[in-house]
Amino acid sequence: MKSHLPLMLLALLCAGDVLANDFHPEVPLRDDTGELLVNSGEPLSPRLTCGACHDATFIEQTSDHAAAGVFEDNAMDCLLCHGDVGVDREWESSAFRADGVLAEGMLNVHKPKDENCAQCHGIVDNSLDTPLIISADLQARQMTDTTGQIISPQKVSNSGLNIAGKEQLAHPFDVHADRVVGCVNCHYSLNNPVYFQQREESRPPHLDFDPRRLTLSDYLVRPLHQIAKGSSIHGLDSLQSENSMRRCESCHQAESVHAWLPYKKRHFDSLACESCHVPRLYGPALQAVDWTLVDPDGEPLRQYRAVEGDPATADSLIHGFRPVMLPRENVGGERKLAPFNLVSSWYWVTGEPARRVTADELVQALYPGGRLHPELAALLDRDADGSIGNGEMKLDSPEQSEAVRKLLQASGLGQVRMTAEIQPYSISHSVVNGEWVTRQCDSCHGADSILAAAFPLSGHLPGGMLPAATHQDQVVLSGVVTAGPGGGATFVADNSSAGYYIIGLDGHAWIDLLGLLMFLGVAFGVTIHAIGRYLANRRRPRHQAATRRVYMYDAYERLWHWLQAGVILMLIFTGLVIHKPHFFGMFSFAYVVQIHNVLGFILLINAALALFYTVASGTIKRFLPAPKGFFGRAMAQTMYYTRGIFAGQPHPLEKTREHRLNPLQQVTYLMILNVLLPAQVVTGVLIWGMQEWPVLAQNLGGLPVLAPLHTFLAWAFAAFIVMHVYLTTAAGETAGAGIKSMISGWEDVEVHDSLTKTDAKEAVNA
Amino acid sequence: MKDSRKGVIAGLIFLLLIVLVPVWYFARPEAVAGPVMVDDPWANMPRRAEPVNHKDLFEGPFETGQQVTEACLSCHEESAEQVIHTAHWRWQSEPVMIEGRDQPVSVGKKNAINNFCIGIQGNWASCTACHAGYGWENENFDFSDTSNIDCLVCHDGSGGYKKGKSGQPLEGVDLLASAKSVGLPKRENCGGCHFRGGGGNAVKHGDLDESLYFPSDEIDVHMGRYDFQCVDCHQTKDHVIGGRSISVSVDNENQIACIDCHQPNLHADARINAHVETVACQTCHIPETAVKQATKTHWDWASAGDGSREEDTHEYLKIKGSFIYQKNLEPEYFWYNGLADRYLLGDPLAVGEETPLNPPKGNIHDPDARIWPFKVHRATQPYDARLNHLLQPVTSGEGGFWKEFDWDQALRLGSEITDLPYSGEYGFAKTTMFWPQTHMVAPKTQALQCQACHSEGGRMDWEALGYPGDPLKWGSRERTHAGDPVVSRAGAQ
Repeated sequence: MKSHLPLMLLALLCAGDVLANDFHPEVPLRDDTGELLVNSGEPLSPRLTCGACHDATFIEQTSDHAAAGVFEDNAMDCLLCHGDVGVDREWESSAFRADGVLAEGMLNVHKPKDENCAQCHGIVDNSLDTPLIISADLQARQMTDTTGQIISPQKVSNSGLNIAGKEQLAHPFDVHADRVVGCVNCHYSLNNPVYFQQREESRPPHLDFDPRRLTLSDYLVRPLHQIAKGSSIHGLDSLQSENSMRRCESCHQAESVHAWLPYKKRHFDSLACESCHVPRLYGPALQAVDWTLVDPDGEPLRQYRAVEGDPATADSLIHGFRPVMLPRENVGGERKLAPFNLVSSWYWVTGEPARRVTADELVQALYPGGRLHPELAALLDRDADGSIGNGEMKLDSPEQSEAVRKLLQASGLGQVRMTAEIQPYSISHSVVNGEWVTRQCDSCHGADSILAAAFPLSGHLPGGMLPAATHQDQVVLSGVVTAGPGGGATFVADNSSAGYYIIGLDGHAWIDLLGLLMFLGVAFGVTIHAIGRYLANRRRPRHQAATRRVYMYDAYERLWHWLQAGVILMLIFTGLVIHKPHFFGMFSFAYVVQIHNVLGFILLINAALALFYTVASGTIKRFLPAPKGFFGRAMAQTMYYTRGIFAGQPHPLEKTREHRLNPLQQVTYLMILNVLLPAQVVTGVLIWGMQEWPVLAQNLGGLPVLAPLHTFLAWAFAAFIVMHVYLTTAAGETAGAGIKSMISGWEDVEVHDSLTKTDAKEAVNA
Repeated sequence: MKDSRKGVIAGLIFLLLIVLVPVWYFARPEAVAGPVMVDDPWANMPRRAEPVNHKDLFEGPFETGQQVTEACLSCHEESAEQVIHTAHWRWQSEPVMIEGRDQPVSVGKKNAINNFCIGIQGNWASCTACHAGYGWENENFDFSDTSNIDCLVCHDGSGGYKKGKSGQPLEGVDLLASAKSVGLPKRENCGGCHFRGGGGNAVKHGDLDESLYFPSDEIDVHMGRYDFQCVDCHQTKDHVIGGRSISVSVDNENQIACIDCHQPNLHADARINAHVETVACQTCHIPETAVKQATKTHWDWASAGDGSREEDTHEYLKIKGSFIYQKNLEPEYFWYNGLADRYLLGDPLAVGEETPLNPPKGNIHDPDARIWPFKVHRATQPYDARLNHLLQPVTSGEGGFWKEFDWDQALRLGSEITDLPYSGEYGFAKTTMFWPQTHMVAPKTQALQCQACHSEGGRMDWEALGYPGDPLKWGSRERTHAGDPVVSRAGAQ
């Protein structure tokens, strides 16, 4: 046995810090043959040592880690996960007692600690006092490298990382680590009776909790080594435990602590908790891996996201990045927007079906005799200084790519071609809480929405090739990949293609354009008409007809009218703010939405009361066009607006209390009151109701249908109001007379010869 | 026409009401963004009184401190009567009943024993340099003689006023300039004595030292970031200054608390708010003390008197013995309800290893007790090996240990002054003193995090506090609902 005294001393020193697990019994260590290690000096056999009490076969067969090929030669190494990390496991014979048990403190067997998981899964560091730094060991950093996740209770501001604006970031890297939640608290063994809970789908509906649990002793003999996990790409090797983990909602009652959040349920239905609670990542996350050219050690060119330089170097400036939001399918089939990192990779494939060209093959082909092939070197040496500089080790011209391809072909590989793909990595760690969470409405609702932010994919495009999304079950890569101006590529998420409609961000440009054209068209039309009237009036003043004062509008009608007018104007304005919040930065989105809703209900109640009034009083008849002679009257009114009005002619139809609406108005109001207003109210209520009855709105197409419709109808209202206000100027003797009459109730109407009896009586009464 | 205009205006107002009332009601901040926690500690902090400029009020010349006092009292007629009842003058409390004793106890610097310089009796002249008076040099000092009150030690604004033996102004102090400068007590006035408790900067408290004259935010957020003066928290009425510490006090009247200004449940996080019934604010918000300057944590009197050892203020002095100082002191944690026991002269030593001189009261069963941070000062100090009580030596006084290096003589002289029997056989006993840490509050971003206590090797000794284990897993001390486990062990003290 080799001497490892210094290491052992170190181990002892470290062990002093770690509390020993006194619960685990002393175990004699055995080798492959069952012989005590102390006698044979052979390596430890976990199978025969741990297997003396635990069911080694059961563990081996169920182990996710074994299935994933973690252990060389299929020899399980229990102590990798259950022993202390950083302790050398080659013992002097003097370390043993005669019965083969290691001396006290030499072996500490325990449930996996965070340090154990951290050996492979990424940066996990529970120290509060030692500033956290990034290890250069890529193998240990894997999960951090794909996602940027760092799991540590340490505050970002206290870490050893060179993060821009770090002193403001006084929050732990991960709130669960801060709250003493360890890896195995969520990623537990699936038959651990402390944690295991049958899923709703797999237990009878009447049973919340099955008390007939595995006893602890049963569990300790046969602990299932399937570990509860989510559904990230990292775990493709252990598909049998896919989605076995409880999710945030299994432990957290989000409802009770989001009192501040408007449209709580709506947000919970559309967003995974992580969307807001993982706002930014500071760990080194890969952005692109370029395998089209490797260094002599077979290492690709790695680009890290938002880091200036090598992340493991202390002075590299880390900016941190906001993950991209993509629709992710969770257990139970529900789909929510969740944060992802996208890693693009470029690599060569060969043959049919295609297989990836390995790093070894690349080194052999590109580095004959250990030196970069001179032809390729000449092509790469862009500044012709005789050496390949830092920025030159990439393929950005067709000649360079072709040269590599030829070298690979020449090395005996057939059908060599380049391919490029984007791999999304789901992010669920590095969770923050409280004030650090994304909680501003305009983070998503507006043109600067994080849901549509450009997400860099790569600083260069090897072989000029844009990477394409790889197919995955859990996530839809809904968005567009574009080549950037600097030679790189960018991904812009477009979740509307995945069925989302984010108010303030989404919308159909053509609807707004159509609406605007309608609005401007009407405005233009009435302007021309007004100019025409003005000019005509100058040439030939309007004839002064005899008039009489009629009490046209009673108090309630005026009240109803002005309430409706005011509320609609405010609705149009607040609606515009909600639709395009980025043009109205001074308004708080949440408040404007709330005001819009309140106004909407005022409108609804006012309309309902008005309906009751007109029905009860019978005045609803005024809105109904009398069929007899309708066409003639309508024509007369049309002729008046198109001709008569310019000729200074009197109104063709007498206006009375009973017949206050001309046929054109009757038709217009019928449309507005029976189509436009109800449609606008119904779509509005449904959008408001997405909070309470999402299914109802969903059945009608959800926001993607309702919201654009509501927007278009709002444009129609706006256009109507222009027309309506303009036509009031044609109602009386003067331009303001129409509006005045709606204020005072009294109107001077032209006296016509064809005064009917009823009207006469009315006039007298008035 | 007039009427119709009125009608229009009335209608308009009516319309506005119809719209604005519901909008106002439903778009209140609470209705949109949920309940709002109002925390405005400034609202609870009284404004500093604008001091009257005394520049032109004195003519002088002043030969003695007493003359200045006379001048002060000629206007501030009630002050003398106020001051002579305060602890700063009397160095002794009103008689207080203490649990476990038959007689009320009147204790203070005047007659207490500690485990630093041990006691003032017989050593008056050097100790009373910090007395708010003039001329206390023996047991015959007249506490009713108001002419000896020292106004300037607290009110001097010139920074030039310094006291020496028996509290007399040092030679060369410009008393007139000092008198003209008087105002509200500043950090320098309080700090002159309280930052130097125990005979030097940073010795005693742990959370009070001269770094608080010009502290950074990190040393003390109140004094550093917000420029607090001592008296902003230590509010004073009739010269009675708020606040007290169990190093000399046995009662808890006139105390200061964080929640005098801050809301107790202001943390946004319910999990943290759940701690406030069991954990003092100080516990999390003072993660460490002696932030800038090391404080004394150990004092071994037994090793004093060795002239062969090299001297170093922070390690060994022949007159005092050997010390340990610690910087960035991680406090120790005990239940504390604001009261403490008190070792009084003549009390027998504790049976255990160490005799606590002022053990904080409270335990896991005491609803008023919270887990508090303490600086613990451990010492060995002379005791009567036969009679089993601590002895108070004369040190700086006439014939004392600091001159003669003769313990027997020093203790004999001390026993004559204190009337404490001394058998002639002395030894050195281990004692502890507890200093609740309440200053040097760190910025909130530096508050303790969960892992500091709730992790393997964390700060808390849960079993010593009376828990079966970490309450994060074992549950809290209180059973709040039927079905919750009750974990505190009966009888744990």
